Amino acid sequence: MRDRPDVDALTALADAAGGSGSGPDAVALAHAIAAREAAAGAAPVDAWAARLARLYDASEGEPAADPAALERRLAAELRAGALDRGPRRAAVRAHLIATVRAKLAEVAPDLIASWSLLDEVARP
Amino acid sequence: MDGGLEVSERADWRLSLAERVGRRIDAPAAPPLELAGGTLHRHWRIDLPVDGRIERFVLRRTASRVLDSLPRPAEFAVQRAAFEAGVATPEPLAYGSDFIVMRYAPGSAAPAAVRAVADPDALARELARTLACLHRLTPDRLALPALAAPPADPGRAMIAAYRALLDARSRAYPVLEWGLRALEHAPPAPHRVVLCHGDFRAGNFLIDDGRLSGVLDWEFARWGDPCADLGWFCTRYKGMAWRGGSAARAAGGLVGREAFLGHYARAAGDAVEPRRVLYWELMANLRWALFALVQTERGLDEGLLERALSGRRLAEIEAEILALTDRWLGVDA
Repeated sequence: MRDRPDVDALTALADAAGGSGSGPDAVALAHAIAAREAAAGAAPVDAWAARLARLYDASEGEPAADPAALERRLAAELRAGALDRGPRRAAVRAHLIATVRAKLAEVAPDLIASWSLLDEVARP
Repeated sequence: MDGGLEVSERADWRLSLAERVGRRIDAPAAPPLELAGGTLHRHWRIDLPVDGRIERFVLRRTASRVLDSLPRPAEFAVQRAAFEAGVATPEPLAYGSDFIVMRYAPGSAAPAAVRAVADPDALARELARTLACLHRLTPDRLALPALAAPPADPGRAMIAAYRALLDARSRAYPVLEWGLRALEHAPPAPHRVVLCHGDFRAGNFLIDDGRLSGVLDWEFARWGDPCADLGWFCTRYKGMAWRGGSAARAAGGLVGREAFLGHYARAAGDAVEPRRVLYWELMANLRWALFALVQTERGLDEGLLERALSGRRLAEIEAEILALTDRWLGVDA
């Protein structure tokens, strides 16, 4: 769910930023993202994986499917037009909104209010 | 060398410039001055004695290319064609495989310079006129072999290109697929194909005393739908901070979308369909998303934090893609 760079790479880049010409705003943002990720822990990623599993009807107790593989499957279905209509479309839209909201909560929480559709999903 | 710039008699850019202008060019009258801005390129102002008189030039050197950017000789050809057609842009004079030399034009290219103008509507009118002037260049009026052939359907061509870029990545991006698929739903019929700047936004305009001094950075120019430039100008990507997020200044951080499209329509003598602009605004955000992915990899490879952070700012672009997709599909959210 979380985009690159992962938190280790981000922190390493921020720590080394003195010699790279990066500005203080970028360093502060990198550290803020790392802090928010640490505070949130695995919960946002677990929620994302659970939503994907629900989209693909994984039953309780089944071995957990690889969420990255489910995400690839979702992308392929979207491209093929299999989700253009039908009952699953609303659930997919809700999943995408929830995922973007969860990412913004760690990257730029002050921007969430900029998009009203992000309020459609329950806060984690 | 001066600030990373070769200034000797044998320097490629000096030889090329001398050949082009056909006059004697001596060593710089003062050390080259590196100019601010430019994420992919470096620029220097160079004062050169030409036939004994000091003339001012700018040297643009490639740092790297990204996505579908043009090599310098092709960029030179496009900027030259635009200049000769009367588009406000510094006159390009010479080029090599990794540089362009152009005449110096005064002003600042910082996005803040655009947002700070006293009369944003006047600048918006000027930009709209400039864009309309550029869009009069069509494949039947201008041969530009340096560019890819004009696409029969610019929208479909871009969707295919973006999917190919996504296929080359190690993970999937469902939000981008969501937006791309939406663009296949009732797309506007192919319109006229014109020369597009490809990166028409604050940061690529020289502003001098509140007025447009010149349009810069032609490396993303291509044949396309004129609304591609209009949609790009209206994108809201706060990470790049040129628009400032205000809906009242949705067009380039200057004026509202309707006002800008009105200025453009009057200058072009051609009505602008807002729905076509919406289509291209969504496309523009998808392009931004792909830029962000490429910039992230470059940032990680080069150890540059600001570029690498583009990957985390993808979420902002994705939020905009979701919102614009709803608008495009007519979803009442």
